[in-house]
Amino acid sequence: MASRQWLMPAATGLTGLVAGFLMGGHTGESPSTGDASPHVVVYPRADSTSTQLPASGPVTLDDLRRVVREELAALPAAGAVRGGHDVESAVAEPTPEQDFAADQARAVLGSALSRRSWTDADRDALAPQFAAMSPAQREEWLQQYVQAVNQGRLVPESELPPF
Amino acid sequence: MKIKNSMAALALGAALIMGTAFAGSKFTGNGSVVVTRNADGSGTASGYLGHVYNAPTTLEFIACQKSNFGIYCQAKSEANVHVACSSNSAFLANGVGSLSADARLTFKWDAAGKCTNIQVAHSSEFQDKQG
Repeated sequence: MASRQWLMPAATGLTGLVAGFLMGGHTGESPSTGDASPHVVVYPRADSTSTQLPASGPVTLDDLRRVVREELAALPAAGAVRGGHDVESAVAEPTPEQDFAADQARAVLGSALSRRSWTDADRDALAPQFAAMSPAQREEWLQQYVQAVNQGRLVPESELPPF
Repeated sequence: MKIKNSMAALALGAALIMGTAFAGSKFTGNGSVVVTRNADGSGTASGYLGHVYNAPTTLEFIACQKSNFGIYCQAKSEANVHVACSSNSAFLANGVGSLSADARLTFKWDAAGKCTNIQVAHSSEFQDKQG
């Protein structure tokens, strides 16, 4: 359901764009009175100097409906590929280098936990690994670090952040 | 000459009294870092940056930072209780960005150590950092 949430705003925006595009070429139109079907008429601006009549008739609501239907039909199905990337697999798998950095970072944390102390040397050892990790790996590492601090299993010896 | 000196002293005294009378409301607490830890691992930390800096205490501090790695907040009370939280929330990062040197800072975290709330308050009642 959540993956279809973008459909309504997209359709609304598309409708506006299409309507604006179609109406844009019809300034100077006189309002029609003899047509029973509902239609959209654009009046010229008061400061307009254009006297040209449109090449075609007024844009009706049926025209808009048809265009919107056609454009919606042309959209890919919800949850499918968007912008060339599968939305469901937007979180990339970590590279071997990132996995290696995450292992090293875990080792630094493990060593600090065994001493129950986080020192500036630990921070220095972590820095390159932390930068090399994927965002998800960094988040996981930080969660472990923060939980250890909050539970009193790890005492930071510095007022600096761990990374 | 004596009269002049007396007048000057009177004027100075009056100015001091008036200055005190119109100095405005003051925060009367000690502003120290207060840490509350709940049984599930969540908690809250709060402190007045200016008050903590000016206090004669030696251990306590409270801080937040934001970087390209997200935000990280930590606090240590004078009782040597150290707590921290982190988050990738851009919304919370905006809160950290609004922090000033003399604000009251409060942050909360959940059981996983994620920052869930950051409050930054500025007030004329708070002390500025001195020295």
